Amino acid sequence: MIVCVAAAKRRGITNEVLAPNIRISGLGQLASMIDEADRLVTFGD
Amino acid sequence: MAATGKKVMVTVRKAPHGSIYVQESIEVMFIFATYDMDLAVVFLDDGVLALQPGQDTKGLGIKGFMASLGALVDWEVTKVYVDRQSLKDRNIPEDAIITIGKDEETDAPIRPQVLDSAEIAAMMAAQHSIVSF
Repeated sequence: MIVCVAAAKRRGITNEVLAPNIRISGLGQLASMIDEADRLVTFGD
Repeated sequence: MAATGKKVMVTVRKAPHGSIYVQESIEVMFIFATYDMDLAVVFLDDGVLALQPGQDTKGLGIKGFMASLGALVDWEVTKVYVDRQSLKDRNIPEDAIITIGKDEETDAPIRPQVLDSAEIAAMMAAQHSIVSF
C-alpha cells in the first residue's frame, strides 16, 4: 500500500506513524500506476 | 516518465474552502499534465464555486488556489470544462467565471468551457480513468 506524501504530510502522517507495509510516495507514482492499470477505483466522501 | 497519452479526467465537485480537496485536485492536475497524460478537468456540483473570481484565503491561513487555477493553461492544462447546470443552480453567470490563461497568439482570455451534463457524461465515458475530488 502506498500513501501520497503531500496528502499525508498535510494530515500529520509521516513514516514514523505509518502502519506496517505502507510506504509514502508521490503523485507521479499515481500517474504511472494509472497509466499501467486497467481500472482505477477511488473511495471518497 | 509515462507518456502514453491515456485519457484521464479530474473532477472537482467540492466547495473550495470547507476542505482541502480543490487544492489537492490542482496538485493532481499539474502532476498529470507533467506526465503528458491526456487530461480533462471538469468542475461540477459545488466545485464550480472554485471558479468565482476574487477569492482570497489569506484570512484562513491556507494557501490560495486562485493563482494556480488562473495559470492552468501555462501548465498545459487546457481541456477545462464546467457544468452548465451546476453554475445555474448556484446563480453564477457563465461569463462571470475566472480565466485560466491567455491564448498564446491572440492574448484573448481563456475560460473553462461551459458544457451540458450530457456532453460531460459522453466525455466521462471516453476516459481511461477518472480521479474524483
